[in-house]
Amino acid sequence: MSKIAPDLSNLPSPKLEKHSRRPSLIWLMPFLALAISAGVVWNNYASKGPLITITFKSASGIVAGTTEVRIRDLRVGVVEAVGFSEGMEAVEAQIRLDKNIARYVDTEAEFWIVEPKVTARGVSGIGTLLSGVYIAANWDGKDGVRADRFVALDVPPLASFGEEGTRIVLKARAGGQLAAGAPVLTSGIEVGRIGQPKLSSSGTTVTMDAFILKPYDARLTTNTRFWDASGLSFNLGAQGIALKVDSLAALLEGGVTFGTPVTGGGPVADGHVFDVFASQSVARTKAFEADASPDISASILLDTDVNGLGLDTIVRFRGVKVGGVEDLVGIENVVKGPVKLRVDLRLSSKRLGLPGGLSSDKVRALLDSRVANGLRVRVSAEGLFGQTVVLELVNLPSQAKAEITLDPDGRIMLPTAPAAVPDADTGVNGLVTRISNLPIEELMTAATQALNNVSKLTGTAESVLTADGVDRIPQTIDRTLQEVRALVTAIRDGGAIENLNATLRSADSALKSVDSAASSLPALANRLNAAADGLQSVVSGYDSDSRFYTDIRGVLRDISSTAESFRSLARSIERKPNSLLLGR
Amino acid sequence: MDISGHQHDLITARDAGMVACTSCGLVASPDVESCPRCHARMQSRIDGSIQRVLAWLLAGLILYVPANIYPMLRTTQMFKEQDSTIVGGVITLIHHHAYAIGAIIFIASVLIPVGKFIVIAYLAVLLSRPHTKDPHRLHILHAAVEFIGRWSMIDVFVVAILVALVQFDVLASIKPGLAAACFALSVVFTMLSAQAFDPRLIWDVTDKGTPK
Amino acid sequence: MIYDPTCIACPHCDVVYRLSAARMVTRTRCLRCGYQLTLGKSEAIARVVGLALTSTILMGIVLFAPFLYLNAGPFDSSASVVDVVLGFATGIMVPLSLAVLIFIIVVPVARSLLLIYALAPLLAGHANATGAATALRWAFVLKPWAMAEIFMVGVAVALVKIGGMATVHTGTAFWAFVLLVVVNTFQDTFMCRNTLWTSLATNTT
Repeated sequence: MSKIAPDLSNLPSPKLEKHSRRPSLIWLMPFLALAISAGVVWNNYASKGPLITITFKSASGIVAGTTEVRIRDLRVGVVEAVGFSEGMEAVEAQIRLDKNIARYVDTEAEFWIVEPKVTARGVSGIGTLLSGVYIAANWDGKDGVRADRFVALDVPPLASFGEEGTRIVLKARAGGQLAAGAPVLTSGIEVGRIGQPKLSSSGTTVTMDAFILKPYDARLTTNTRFWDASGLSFNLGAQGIALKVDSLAALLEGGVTFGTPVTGGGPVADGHVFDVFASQSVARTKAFEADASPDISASILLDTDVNGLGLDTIVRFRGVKVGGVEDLVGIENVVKGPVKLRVDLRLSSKRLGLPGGLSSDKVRALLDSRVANGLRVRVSAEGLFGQTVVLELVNLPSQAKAEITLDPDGRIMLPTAPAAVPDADTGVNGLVTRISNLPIEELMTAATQALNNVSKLTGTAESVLTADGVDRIPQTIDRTLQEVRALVTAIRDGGAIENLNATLRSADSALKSVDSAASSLPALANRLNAAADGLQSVVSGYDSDSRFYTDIRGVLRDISSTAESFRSLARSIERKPNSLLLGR
Repeated sequence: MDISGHQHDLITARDAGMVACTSCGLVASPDVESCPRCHARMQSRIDGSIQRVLAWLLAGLILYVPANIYPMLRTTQMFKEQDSTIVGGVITLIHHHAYAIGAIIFIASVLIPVGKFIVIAYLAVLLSRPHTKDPHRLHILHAAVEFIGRWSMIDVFVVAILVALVQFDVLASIKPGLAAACFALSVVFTMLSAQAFDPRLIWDVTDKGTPK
Repeated sequence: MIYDPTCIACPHCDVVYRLSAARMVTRTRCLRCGYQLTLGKSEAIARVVGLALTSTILMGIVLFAPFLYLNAGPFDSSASVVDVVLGFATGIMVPLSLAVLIFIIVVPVARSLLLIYALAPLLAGHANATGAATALRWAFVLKPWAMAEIFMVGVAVALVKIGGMATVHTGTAFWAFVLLVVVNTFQDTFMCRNTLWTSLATNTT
């Protein structure tokens, strides 16, 4: 191409393309975009539920924007912000609730944090280790008074949503072992749980709510008695020794058991208050004496102080508890003499068979007539070794006539009778007395004399007497009896309760040898046999079928299966790192 | 000769003693340095474009090496860390039978960048001196390189999204590796390299194929 | 004469043509290399401005709505575009984070705003805004650096990668982004250089 100045006047036109005319619909686009934006924004705001504020003791893992509020594990809201309350005393969380359920949030709504927990009753909330803690909520589906400020519960509420049963109130002596969440048992099965114990202002009693599930709440009557089932109970009574453990949870967390020893009670409504007694036996005795409120005051005068008589001494009439000692006062004798002891008693008229609600004059008159018929008060003893002192009201018609007197303060003074020898029918004490009362020496003398006569008669007395064993029988018996006496005295005097098993076993074998040695004394032998059997059965350990063992076995099984599943989880992760997310 | 094979009396701005604005198409006298319409720099043929092309290309090439050596992603699952490089990621995807995705990543992160290096280098070398190749083909090559270059950024965005989504503390979390930054820079540099070309150089050839 | 306004040169192959004003309304192509030279005046401008506006509005949704939800067993995770950007924001990764932010958000928005700034006065019949020419030029320059559609493909790939492990839900921002990509692509087809430049240059109202 030559380099002449190009002619720009003849430039070609570029290629033309047909272009159809149509109105510019393009403006629809931004309009649409605006509409969409507005829709999104409006939807966002309109679908937002209300904001509520919940106060927590600690933030324990609550994360703004992530932590959810769930009812029955279904998400109903999310935490928007977490911060301190005024004065930095507590943590406040602002929570946005889903719109559709938010209208049911009323003042009765409950909130609590669900986090991993290890208790004696098992492990809960493990899922929150991975997914983060969440706030559980509980409210019913009915409209109530709206509220938007709440305080979270420290522990999950007693009754989960939908659980039916009865709520009652339990009162116990402070110092017990009961913890929130501890089980309520009956006949060995768990039927409910107790809530957070609260100490009374005086510090002596502890009150707590308890929730008994249906259908077990039907077993509750107004005569139902609750007692502490925590830990072990060790009982030494007329029946022997009993070691009981109710359940592992009760052992560690404490628990209450209930039973209804007395029939005829009425139905129980929500909020009924029950006392929690220290043990089953206490509960039982209290059940029986519940009707008998002590309403009669009387006193007796004792010449000497009785070892073991104190403020917890009870008064019995025909074996039934009719009252107790209210006070012990030393009375100085006007005339020179030893100090007398005045024991003030409170007795139940009902138990004594007297009509209730009588005036004091009438009471006095009735008691007067009883005393005229021989009613006396005397010191007695009960218990396996006679260690418990009781005051007994007994009818002793053979006594010298006496009557009720009034002391200078107007107190009814009941006449006393000499202290009673404990019933020799029961107890080692009776045994020892009985044994020591045995006319063994006479028997021996008689036996020897008889044998002498026999030898005189036969002339072979010597040979008989010196025959192996025959000679030694009386001495063996005598020696064994002495041992037994010494043993029992040692027990009584030394109070060696700790070595009781060994002691009893040796007593048992001692009695056995007595038995074998004195087999020629049938009546006594039978008695001794029976005593030996009784002692032996008591010496065995606790029942291996008890719930305690079952619980321990169950826990061990849980632990080992958990360990196993952790092992297999770790193995599968190692093999396929995606398996956790894939779920395979 | 044009695409459809017709002969025209076509004249270039340079031949006409004019200079054209690459930004807005304005034709002006050669002494004009700044386009009066769009204020872009006006040069008949951009100075040193080839040099710039090669410079950017080298930068991109250098950065491509660590982009392949270092990991793109670091996945932590229950205290086990797993690094994955570009190629490693492709292999893993194929291993898991995700062939389509593996192919996309392979094309975007391996084929395209490597292809770009080769094509740009070729074009640069070719255009640094008068050439005799068919300008249509070269034109297509250049357009392709310019168009496709940006698509290599797919992998970088994938890493970004994965890092943003998979943050589950102990159970699984993904962190970006050094290679992500290196690769992104490499792509940017090769894009700049392709843009630095003055495509008008391709067409500086006579109709008969003899260089001007 | 400094320049001839009726001349048009093909930026790709340098051939010069004469384009009469009447011809400005239709699409024209270079005879040699087929490059589209003009689109058609007012329609082009209207389209460009309209779509740029749409693009900006959509970007607003994209920024402030959630993008993706991930659900893997007990885990929930959600990411907005800002989360994606910030995922890199530590140490050596900061340039990467900036890069992602720039390519996905800043450049597309900037382009849209520049176009609106430069061309809206024309539609409304006003004089050119100050620096309108520079604005328009930068809108063209930034075109290859707007990588919104590439981000979309990246999202698709990431979804497939995670989809095997967990359930992924798409949020509002996701769809807004898809629309954004479509709108931008559409818009680019109307960005006829010659038309826009001559319109700008001849706006003497």
